[in-house]
Amino acid sequence: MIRINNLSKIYNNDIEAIKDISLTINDGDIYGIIGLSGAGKSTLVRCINLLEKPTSGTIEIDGVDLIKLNEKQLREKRKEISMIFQSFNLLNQKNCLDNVCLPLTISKVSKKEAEKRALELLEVVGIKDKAYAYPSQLSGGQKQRVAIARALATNPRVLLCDEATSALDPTTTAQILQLLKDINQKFNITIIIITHQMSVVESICKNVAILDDGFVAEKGEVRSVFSNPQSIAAKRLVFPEGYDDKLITSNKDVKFIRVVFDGDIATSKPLVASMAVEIDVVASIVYASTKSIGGVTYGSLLLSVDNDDEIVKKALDYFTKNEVSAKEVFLNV
Amino acid sequence: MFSIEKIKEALEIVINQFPLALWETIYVTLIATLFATIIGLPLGVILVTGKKDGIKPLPNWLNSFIDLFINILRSIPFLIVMILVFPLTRLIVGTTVGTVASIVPLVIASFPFIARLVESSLKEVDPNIVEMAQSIGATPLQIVTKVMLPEAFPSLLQNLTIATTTILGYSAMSGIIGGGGLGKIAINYGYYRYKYLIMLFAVIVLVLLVQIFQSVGSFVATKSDKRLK
Repeated sequence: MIRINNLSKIYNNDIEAIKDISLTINDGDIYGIIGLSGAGKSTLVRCINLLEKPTSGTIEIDGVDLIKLNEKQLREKRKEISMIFQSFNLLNQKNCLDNVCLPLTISKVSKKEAEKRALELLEVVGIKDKAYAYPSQLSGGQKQRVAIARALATNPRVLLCDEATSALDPTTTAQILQLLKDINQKFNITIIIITHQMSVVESICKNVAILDDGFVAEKGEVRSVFSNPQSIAAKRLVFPEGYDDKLITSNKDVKFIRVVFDGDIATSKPLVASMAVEIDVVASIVYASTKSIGGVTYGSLLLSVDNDDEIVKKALDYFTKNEVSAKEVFLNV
Repeated sequence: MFSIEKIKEALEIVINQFPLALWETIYVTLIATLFATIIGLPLGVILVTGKKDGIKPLPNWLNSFIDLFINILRSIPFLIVMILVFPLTRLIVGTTVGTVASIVPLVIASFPFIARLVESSLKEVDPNIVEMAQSIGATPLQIVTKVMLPEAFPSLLQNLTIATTTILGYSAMSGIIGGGGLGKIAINYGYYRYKYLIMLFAVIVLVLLVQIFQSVGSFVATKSDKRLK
């Protein structure tokens, strides 16, 4: 269990990157930390493995306060807390196999043993055939797979992902997220995901904390936070292209349904229109941000329907039947 | 411009003396580069790792001292360095004249230069990669040996080539204090005895030598760089 208590970080130039953050992350959880750029996400994740020294507060992992450790103990502890990055950070002059071996050779594992383990891990992440290729010969998705294999080398208990999918296209992002999900289940690793992408949190996280200007604006289960966003920061994330309080709250006679297309299924059907024809539920589109990439749709829709629980249920059932995730959201004041 | 006799005489000297001089030049250059690297490489590493935001910060006064020390050594002209280090040369080699003795001032004059070149090579290493190394629990020494130096290898090789050719140029100058090699021939015949043809030949060979060092160095550096497909 990771327990972060009253964590603050003030940089030398008096900028307060994170302020009084407290989070509890359970073993085996996939925990999302989401926020816009400048919200303090990267500082927070770097405080968890003490790449940044927090100004105050504590970070406990399984009851051990990391801040109290000396340098040597901290280095040992870091082997239990792996990290993957937006820019992959592979050694460019080493092939994939050597890259995955790096954490092992640092831990004084023999070369032969390290290579054996590295090959196993490259197989886990699905690119064993690239073992002898150099990073410059790989695509972004493949590089991140190598980085994940490297992160797993020391059998960590925690995996920190710092914008790990932000440099990848939507299809590759979905594959990497699936891989992280598999790893979470297979090795029971606690995963902490830092991202600015709603879709990432929605597709794999169980719990989420929304960071806004260094504070935790809202935290809880992904389902409840996103279907019933309370804070302005959360609402802004749910409606990325301009959240207008007035627009939504003025409609008191409607109920809202949020439909999410996460790219898992091809939605060739014009769902909103067909819903009207097939089950006689008419909905207006309050907000929409979707894009179709390679025949797969990503994004979200916010629909409003009549203020009637029966109608909402019918609509939700309809979307579920069509394998699209939809939830009622409560935006009325 | 040059009479037949003069050309004949020059050729004779070229044939008789150039092989040894060439060997001496190469030998002095390589040995001096080797020792200068042995001192300059760790110093260059410290220049990067010891910085305030480096992986093993040193006290400020020490950083400033190393910086100043290198700058001072680098600002003294090589000709003066040769004379200034006479006591040290005598201590190490036993004499201050001759080919072997010329290695000492060469090393003293070039290790600060190499330290700066190493510093610039290591600064090119992506700080994100260094951060990754810290995140996997590497010690500062492991970060240097397993991450920074391998990542900077092609650049280090490129810079060491520059250092070698510079040291080659210095070594030619050491002819003045009795250091052997092509420089000595150029000075002794060309400057002291007005035999310009021989000086010309010596210079041509030096130019060729620099060309060869530079081409081989650049070739190996480019070949070793795995960032290029």
